[in-house]
Amino acid sequence: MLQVKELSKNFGGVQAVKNVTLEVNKGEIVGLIGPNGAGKTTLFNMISLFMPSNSGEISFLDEKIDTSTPETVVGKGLLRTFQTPVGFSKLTLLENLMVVPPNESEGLFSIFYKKKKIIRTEREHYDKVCALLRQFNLYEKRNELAENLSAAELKLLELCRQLMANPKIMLLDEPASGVNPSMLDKMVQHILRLRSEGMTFLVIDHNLGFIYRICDRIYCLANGELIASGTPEEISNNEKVKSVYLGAS
Amino acid sequence: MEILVFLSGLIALGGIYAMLAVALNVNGGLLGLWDLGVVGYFAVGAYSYTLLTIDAPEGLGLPMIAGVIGSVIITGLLSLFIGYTSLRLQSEYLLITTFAFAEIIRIVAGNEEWLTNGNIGFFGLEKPFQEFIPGANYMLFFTGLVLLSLAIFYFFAQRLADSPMGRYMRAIRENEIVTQSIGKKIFATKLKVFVLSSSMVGLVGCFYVWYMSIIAPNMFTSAITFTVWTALVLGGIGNNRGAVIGAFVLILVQEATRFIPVPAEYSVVLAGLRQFVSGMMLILVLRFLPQGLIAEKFKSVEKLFKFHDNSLILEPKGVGKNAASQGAE
Repeated sequence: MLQVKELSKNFGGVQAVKNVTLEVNKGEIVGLIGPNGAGKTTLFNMISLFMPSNSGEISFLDEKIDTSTPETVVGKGLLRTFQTPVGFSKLTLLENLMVVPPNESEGLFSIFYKKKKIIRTEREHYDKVCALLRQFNLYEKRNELAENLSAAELKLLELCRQLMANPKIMLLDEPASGVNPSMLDKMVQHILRLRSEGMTFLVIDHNLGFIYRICDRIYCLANGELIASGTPEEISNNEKVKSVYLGAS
Repeated sequence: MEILVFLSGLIALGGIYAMLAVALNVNGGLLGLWDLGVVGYFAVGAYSYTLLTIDAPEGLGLPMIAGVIGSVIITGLLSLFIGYTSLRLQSEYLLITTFAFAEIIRIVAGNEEWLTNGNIGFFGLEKPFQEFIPGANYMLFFTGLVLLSLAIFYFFAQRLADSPMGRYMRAIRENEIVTQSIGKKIFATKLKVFVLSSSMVGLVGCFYVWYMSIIAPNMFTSAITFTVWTALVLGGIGNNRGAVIGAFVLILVQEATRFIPVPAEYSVVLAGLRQFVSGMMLILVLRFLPQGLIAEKFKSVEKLFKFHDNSLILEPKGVGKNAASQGAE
């Protein structure tokens, strides 16, 4: 579904990502681990086209997307989250999510007419948002400002926001950081449930327990290079990964 | 009678600033653009109106209404150019660029004598419906006109803020990158809103010309930009009611300082201190009411729905709670 071929990026003299090749198939949960500064987030930024790559190819659904824009990629169903979830802090949860779907009434002149149509689309989006918020147990807080949520709830909101855009693949950047164990369990359940509904994931995280629990395959990145890939068992027994990532000799 | 005329003049000036503040709130408050070019669009609006309406050889001698429409269009086109070239810049950089554009406009107005009559400008300009309303009463009529158009400005700005577009604009203000990550075309939106807001300012330029009945480059110094921003921050940024109240409070306080009795020998020194009052107000408001006199209100989407259409019953009572407590898991 998502193929990355020999992708590279350098910032001045620093080679942040070196010839990384990876693949995510439909319905898989693929993990991406690596020490701080390994280039994981840079890789995400390039895949979601927030940052141009220096060389290499990205294709999504058998289509090359390198030269595309972030907006069109989102339209095709490639969604990403951010490491520090912030949401739209001064918007309520409902607004946070209702702003997501493409909306024709988001035009300047729609304030003069089209009232019926606005109400109809708003109503559709509202129903969708409410159903989603119920699934994620955030429904009670729907009229709270996003800035009043806890870090873990913000992560869930972040997931909801991506789901509102009808994703086919979701790139999650550290969904488990700052989340307490019981919330983490819920997060895992949500991710597994979404997968059983046909969603594909590419997940970055430092919480190896979490990664091992959910992922089918894992890639390990260090200093911008792919040093290992395989199933969770293979990775957890890989000496290179242990020395680079866990600091064990 | 004199005091009434004076007061209504004061209210008219306050109303003009309030319109500016409402217009600025559209892109400064809702969209979060740091735009210091307000006075530039204001000057362009005022000059285009004047040049379109005064008689030849200086102007085209068009009717007033054509002048008003023309000034809105010209300001819109100019701001399209300014916006297209500078809106990719972030916060401070945008601020500097728009500020520079406003200065350029003022300096051009002062130097292109063939077009603007240089620093002398034009004077004795006509006011709308002046021939129907005699002498002193005219100010009262004009104040009414200003307040009426302020009400129209307010109505549309409020509708914009409550619409899906307003929500989208606030999302951009809160986090541009996340807005981009959900597939929105930010630049196009910014440009549209920027042009809208600037054309609104251009329209207010016509009112300013009517109010002053003269036009000269030194009327359009950056002091106006800062006054409008101060009014917006005082009243509460992101909030139309705050913008209106902030503008009136600021203008009334500034003008009221004229009446503080002071000994003649200090009057020159103390006159220089008038700016101090608005500065002090700004500091006090920021210290004790950082959100402004009226904080931005967060209306729930549900309430807005009922406001739009009462027939929509969104949630049968109790059902929502049950569903939530059963949860997804």
